[in-house]
Amino acid sequence: MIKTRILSGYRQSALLGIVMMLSLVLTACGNDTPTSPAASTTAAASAATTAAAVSTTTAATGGTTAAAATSTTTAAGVTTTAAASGGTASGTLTLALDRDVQSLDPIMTYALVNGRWQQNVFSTLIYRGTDLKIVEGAGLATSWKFTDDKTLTMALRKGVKFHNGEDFNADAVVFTFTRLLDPANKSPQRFNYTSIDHVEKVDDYNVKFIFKDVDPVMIVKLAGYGAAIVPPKFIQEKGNDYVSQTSIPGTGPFKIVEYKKDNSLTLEAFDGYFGDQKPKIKKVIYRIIPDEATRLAEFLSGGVDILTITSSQSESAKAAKGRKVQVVGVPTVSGIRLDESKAPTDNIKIRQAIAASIDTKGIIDSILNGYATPQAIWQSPFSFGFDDSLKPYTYDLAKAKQLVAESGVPNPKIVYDYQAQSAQDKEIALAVKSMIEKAGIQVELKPKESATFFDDYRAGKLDNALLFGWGGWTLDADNTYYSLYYTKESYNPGYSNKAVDKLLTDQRATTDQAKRKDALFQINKLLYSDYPDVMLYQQQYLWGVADRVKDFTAPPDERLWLLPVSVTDNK
Amino acid sequence: MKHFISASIFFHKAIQIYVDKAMLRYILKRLLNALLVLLGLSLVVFITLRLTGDPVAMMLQAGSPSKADIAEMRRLLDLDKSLPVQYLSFLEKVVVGDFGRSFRYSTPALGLVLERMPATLTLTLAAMAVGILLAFPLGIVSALNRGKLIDFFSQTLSLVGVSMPNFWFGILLILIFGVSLQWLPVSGSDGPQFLVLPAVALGIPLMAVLARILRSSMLEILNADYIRTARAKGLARNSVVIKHALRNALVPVITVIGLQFGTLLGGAVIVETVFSWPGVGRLAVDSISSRDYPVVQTAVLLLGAILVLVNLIVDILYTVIDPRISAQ
Repeated sequence: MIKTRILSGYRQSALLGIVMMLSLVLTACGNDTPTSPAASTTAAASAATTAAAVSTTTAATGGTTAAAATSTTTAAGVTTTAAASGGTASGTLTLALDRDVQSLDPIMTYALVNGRWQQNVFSTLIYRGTDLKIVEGAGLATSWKFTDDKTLTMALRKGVKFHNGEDFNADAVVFTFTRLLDPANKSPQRFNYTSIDHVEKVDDYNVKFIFKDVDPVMIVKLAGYGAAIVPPKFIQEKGNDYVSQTSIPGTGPFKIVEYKKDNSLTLEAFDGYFGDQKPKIKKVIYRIIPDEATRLAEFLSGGVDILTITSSQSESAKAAKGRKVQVVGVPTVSGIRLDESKAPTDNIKIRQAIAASIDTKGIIDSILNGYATPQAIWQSPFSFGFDDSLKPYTYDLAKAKQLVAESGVPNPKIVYDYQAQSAQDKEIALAVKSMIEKAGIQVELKPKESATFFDDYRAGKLDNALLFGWGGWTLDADNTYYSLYYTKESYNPGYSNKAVDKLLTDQRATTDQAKRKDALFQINKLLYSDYPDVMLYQQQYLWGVADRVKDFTAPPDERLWLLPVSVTDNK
Repeated sequence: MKHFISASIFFHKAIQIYVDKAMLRYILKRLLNALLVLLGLSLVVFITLRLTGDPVAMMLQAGSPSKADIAEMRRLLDLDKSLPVQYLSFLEKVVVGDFGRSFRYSTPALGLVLERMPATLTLTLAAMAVGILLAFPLGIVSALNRGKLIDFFSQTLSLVGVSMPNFWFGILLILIFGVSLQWLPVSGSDGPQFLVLPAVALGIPLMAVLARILRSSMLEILNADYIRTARAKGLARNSVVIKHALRNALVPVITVIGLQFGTLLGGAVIVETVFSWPGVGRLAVDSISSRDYPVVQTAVLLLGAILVLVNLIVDILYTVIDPRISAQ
């Protein structure tokens, strides 16, 4: 009896012991991780959160503390160039990103969300402002000239330094493009620049781009973030993995201080920035918050100053004290693509009937809360090649019914594909189904997971109709038209028109912008009369902005430019 | 520290007493089994991932890639090879610890997953602690007061806990404690205070399940003959409940804890996203939606390995709690 009791005591304790040991081992593991950062960082980050939370009240009560010159060295044990040289940058700005930045290396990133920080860290040879216009001489190239269709010469800015002190010069430009174009680096940005054969150094501050093919959109592409200029010595010394995941210097107004994966990216003002204007904010924190409801909660509680919100969140954001909403039209245009290689959408009368049956304004008002503008073609007004003389197809149910009758197709039925993850796409699909059915065409809805949707799209496996939105960062009709309408191209469901193909090819072969514009306008008209799509609208983005933030203008693309932005308090 | 030392001593003694040859053989057999399970898992993940879509077009979204551009990128990533060749080359590399490089992060996939593993395990264990600590008093009190108001209250609480979806409960917690009361941070992972809400969101459903199991298990045992005997002997009520009834009621509870560990890891995927907690679940979901094959494969294999290991530990624990269950 006694023996049994002792043993049972051991058993109990052993059980307790095993559980405790496991907990201790796992807790010990927990302490070594980047998610439990060094004490100073933790303090800084939580202080920032608290500070932002407090600022809600301050901003709401109209606090306008002047941005006093601070020379205090802040955050996280940063050892890079001390910003104590009399810089007037002050305060902290917190922004939300909906997904992780994944890689700090400009040639390895492809998600649009990276535009929110990248331009502030890296400069490009060509600068494109927040109004999407190219500002000559504002980038790292002071002037440029096409000496012929396949040669571009550029004069480089002198006296520019990277955040690590390295000099910017022709070697950096040659290195940047050689690295981008090297297939071994597997850059997802590379394909945008493959028309470049190579870049030659003329002297320390002059370079020459030699092209394999004529690329009329190259100047805009050189303002894209794949073409961000990077420091050769730093990268050769540290290697690709380091610059991708730890830090990389650029020549922009802010430098990277710390990147915590899936958590935050922290930047700090760079006093050595080459521009006339210097950064006004001392510290910028991008917090990675994947869930949209959580992002809004952070915004409402003061944990985030700037973020994008959905149209359904706009009322809550507007109603909050000390918060405003900025609305901006973006280059992305949405429409319903109709596959001409499948019956019954191979019949133009059916396509016209579908177009006449859809009440775009109704969709915009009821589903998008009015945050969109109807469009006639697959280009936004920002785009080179946009023709505002073309008006959206008119909603006319009687005409739609008549067109169905004229088509000669008995009991027409179409299948409509959309991306299941998007609640908005689903609402639009339901609305469109009921509208088209009123005209006498049956509609079967087929929701698909996004990646599958795009795989099937490119493989030509989607059905009669599909809902799609696309912009194109180069803001040139060539960027999307070629993929959308050239016979058998990757994003063309089944449209084929030899005249369009020829015009697309011709405009690609010249840098004469007048000729290109003429060709693109002709394409617009052909597409408008062929009905390969029923265009819906140009999207609008809604940005929530805290009142403590001054001089922030929501950009039409996601490229935030924080140089002019300031905060009204030093928190 | 004192507790730690005494726990270690007991742990060692427990090993000396229980890990005999039969047990060793059993553990070895189970480990071999685990390897086969992981091999099968790797094949299933490998094939299903490739059936669901192509990562390349997603990688080339910054522009409008032509068919030739997409083909070139596929070649660079070795995705143009046949599936058996890709799978064998994957296995060959995994054996030497090379899980491939992430398509999105352009760094080794194993590092990405391992970096986030502690965050997920911390969250899972914290949720487990929340679940267990709340479930025990709730289950015991409920069983001892069967049919009374407190039992009804506890049963209702369990029902609510088990019915609430994680994401909804998480957002509710955020709105109450983060936005309205501002007692706790809304999201992030920069200190212990950030762990509270996600651990509660993830732990409450576990609490609900455990409390219900513990209640029914206790009720069954409280009616057993030996409990009546213990009471008849005049043993104190607490002693009867804790030493006699609770210990015997633990076997099904431990089983459920083991099984729920998998559910917790699964739930962590959602809770991590809602609370911006940088764990493996969130990484896996992001990687699945962008078809980052190497990362998904690594995450699934490692999480699978942990689950297999936890189940093995649970099976060994049975023999510790109830000597009638042997390793044979």
